[in-house]
Amino acid sequence: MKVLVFSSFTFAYLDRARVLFGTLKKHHPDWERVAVITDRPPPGIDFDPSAEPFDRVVWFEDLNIPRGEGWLFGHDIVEACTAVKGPFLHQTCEAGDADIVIYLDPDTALLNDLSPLVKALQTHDGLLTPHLLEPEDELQALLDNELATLRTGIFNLGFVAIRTTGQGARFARWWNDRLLAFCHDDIPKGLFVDQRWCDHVPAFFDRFHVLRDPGYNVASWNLSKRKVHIGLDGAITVNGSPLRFWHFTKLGPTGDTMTRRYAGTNFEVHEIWNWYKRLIEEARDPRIPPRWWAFAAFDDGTPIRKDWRELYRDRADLQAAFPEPFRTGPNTYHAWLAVEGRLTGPASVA
Amino acid sequence: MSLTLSPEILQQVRAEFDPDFYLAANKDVAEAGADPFQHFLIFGAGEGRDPRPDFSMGRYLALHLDVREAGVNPFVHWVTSGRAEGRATDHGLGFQYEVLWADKPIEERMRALRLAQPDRAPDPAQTLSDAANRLAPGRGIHVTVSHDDYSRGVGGVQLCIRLEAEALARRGTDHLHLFPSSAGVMVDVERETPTLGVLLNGTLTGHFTPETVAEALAPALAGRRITVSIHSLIGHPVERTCDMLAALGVTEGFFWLHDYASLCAGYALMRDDVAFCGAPSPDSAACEICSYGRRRRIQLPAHVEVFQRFALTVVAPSQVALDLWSHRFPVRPAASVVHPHARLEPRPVQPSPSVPSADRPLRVGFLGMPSLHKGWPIFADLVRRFAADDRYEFHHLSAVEDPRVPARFTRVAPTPDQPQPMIPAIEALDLDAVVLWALWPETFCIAAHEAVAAGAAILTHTGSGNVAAFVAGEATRGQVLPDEASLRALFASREVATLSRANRKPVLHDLVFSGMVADLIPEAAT
Repeated sequence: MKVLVFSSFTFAYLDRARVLFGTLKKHHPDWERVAVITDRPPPGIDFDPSAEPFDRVVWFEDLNIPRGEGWLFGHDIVEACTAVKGPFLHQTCEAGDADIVIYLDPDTALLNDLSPLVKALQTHDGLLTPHLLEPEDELQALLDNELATLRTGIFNLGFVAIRTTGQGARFARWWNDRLLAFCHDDIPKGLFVDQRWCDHVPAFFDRFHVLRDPGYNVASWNLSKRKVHIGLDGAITVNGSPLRFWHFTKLGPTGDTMTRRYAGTNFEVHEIWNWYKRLIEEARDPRIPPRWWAFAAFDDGTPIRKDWRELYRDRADLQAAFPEPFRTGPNTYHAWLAVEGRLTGPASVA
Repeated sequence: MSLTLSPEILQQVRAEFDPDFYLAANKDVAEAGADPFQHFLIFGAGEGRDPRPDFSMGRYLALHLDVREAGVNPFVHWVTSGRAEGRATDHGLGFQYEVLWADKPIEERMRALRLAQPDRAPDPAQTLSDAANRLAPGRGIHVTVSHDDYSRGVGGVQLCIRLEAEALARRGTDHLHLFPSSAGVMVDVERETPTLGVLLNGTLTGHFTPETVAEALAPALAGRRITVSIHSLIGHPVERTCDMLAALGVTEGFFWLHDYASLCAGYALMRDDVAFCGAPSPDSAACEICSYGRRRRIQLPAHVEVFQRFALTVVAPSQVALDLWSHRFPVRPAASVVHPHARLEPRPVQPSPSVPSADRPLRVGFLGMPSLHKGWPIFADLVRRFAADDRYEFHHLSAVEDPRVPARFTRVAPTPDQPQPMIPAIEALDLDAVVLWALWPETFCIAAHEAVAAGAAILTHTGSGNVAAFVAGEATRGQVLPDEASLRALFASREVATLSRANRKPVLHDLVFSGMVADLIPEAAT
């Protein structure tokens, strides 16, 4: 049974990916580890994939997405990194490169082995983890967690595991198609990148299984209902189940606030976070500029605003007229924006 | 800051500021004779110094990110608006969170220590040869190995070595003590030129590489009977220290369990310094996340090798310590023995009771350094909860004060004239009970013996190792409680009053120390 695990990220998250793949390597040295990178190395960084804890790198260009550059321009960093999960998953199924494919967000890390997933995929074609496994009791938690996941998706797509045949392959094709066209952060339209789509999964794919084990995908959004215990035998358990992997979302003061709020006096949670922060610090390459993304700016360095991306992706005529939208100079999308008077005015950069 | 605040606000903030606490917590300000409030506003706030014992600047900023982003003085914010808005000053997450929040990675702490105490240049080997040649011929020699120069320290291990050396000296045995010249917190694997400090019969001879020690001492020690007692290998370049012992002809010896440093780089087995871990498998998830986990993978094999090279008799000061260690250490020692550091003997003449008045407050104390491992946060919490309750009076007897905790402080520190000052101090204060809430399984606990010797009862918990075992053995010694909630309940219900001296009428004891391994070495061997 060949298992392939992949993650999707940019160089700004290389430290997190290193930690994830390092823990994967420790617990599953025989699983293939693939880094899908939608980015280019920052200037001065001599990126050597052979020195990294993953087996191979798949660059955005390797995915051969139709109208690649134009398609990429239509997405901000989060949209792009989540959207490429679909093509990679689908293409891996098509190529027959593995029997099982597991996706993990770069900001997850293993604290135990994931072999029960392989067993579960003997009887199911796919596995998803819901953000929440039980209702909240407090209003604040309801607002932070239950209501928020109604907007962003019932399942957390920081994890998905499929067989590369049967409904697993059908899911991969369907998700690929949807993400190529609609992987947008547009909550008013019912979209939250790759996640809201998967609310359909239990209805569309009856051989998919909702993983209800609290030891998987532990994160600040479900901590209010999960108690972490570290026994004298050295085992870490969550509500009595072995802790498998943690989702270290929002590393920094905001994440700390949410962790404090929901971990309460369960200090073991902070021990796990401290461990992760130490590993990140070790894995960090200080030469990579914070928030680096090679596709964040036009070729003259002008940061690309979100509304310019949205306009471009919504207008087939602009896509046809300017197939290389990152370029600047005469007869470019950038020049068109200037002529239209759209280069000025308040809007967020993304 | 003072320039930008209106006089009304300044007055409001000053009224909430605790100048006595500020001066006690900041000796440099007190010594400089500066006005504490002005110092706080202009310098202290920016340096994160707290304005009163119950307000932490760092904690307030961590709790309220908007205040942090605004860059305002958190105490001024709390006094002028935060308090009225109902903003919390305490996260209520317990001391463990505080420890973890302030945690500096252990590697960083070790680097800082190496920088603060760099390798020192070795002294000339001739100094050591000359000193060894001055030893009277034919006498046996007892070698002790520990983490520091026992003659300059006042802790428990230092006392044990002193007593051990004195007991053997009375039999005409010389004493050689070896310790790492630069302090460490774990076994050393990083120093390029580690040296050992050498004391001969209590006098510092100098600092030499382990190889020099072997070469310089071998001729003078040849033909003598050598006994060895390893009290600690913390800070030692273990392999080289062992090579040196082997070169001197050592094949066997004693190994003390003063702590659990042979099981883990965290000698108290406190995972991440917040909870007793039980020393599980080094491959466990707990050791994976623990800040001591990686160093344990060095420290444990280093000690295993020592036991494989030498036939060592493990000396545990309590059965509790021996049981835990035997259960977790991967190789069997040549032998093991339980040998307490001290015993209690009823005083031949009991002083007449000092008429303890039944209606005075119950006097409850904490003995020794206000450290985490000793359970200071538990005592501090108790004091804060009941400080205003006139049924209780809280005392702290120590060489070091913690101004954040409103307990009455009595400075108690050993001096050459009074090497064991704790027992008379407890008696002088007429303490009824002491809280000995070690967060790790203590291997012995001299303070527990001192408390009972002086007639104070002990309040402890089941996880305190030999403290619990010592108390559980005799009901008159105090109570062993299951957890902190039970401790608080005991005070809230006033049930703790049953531990008053008036009620217990304790028998006072003398504390009689053992001769340590001198008691285990046959006379003929020395």
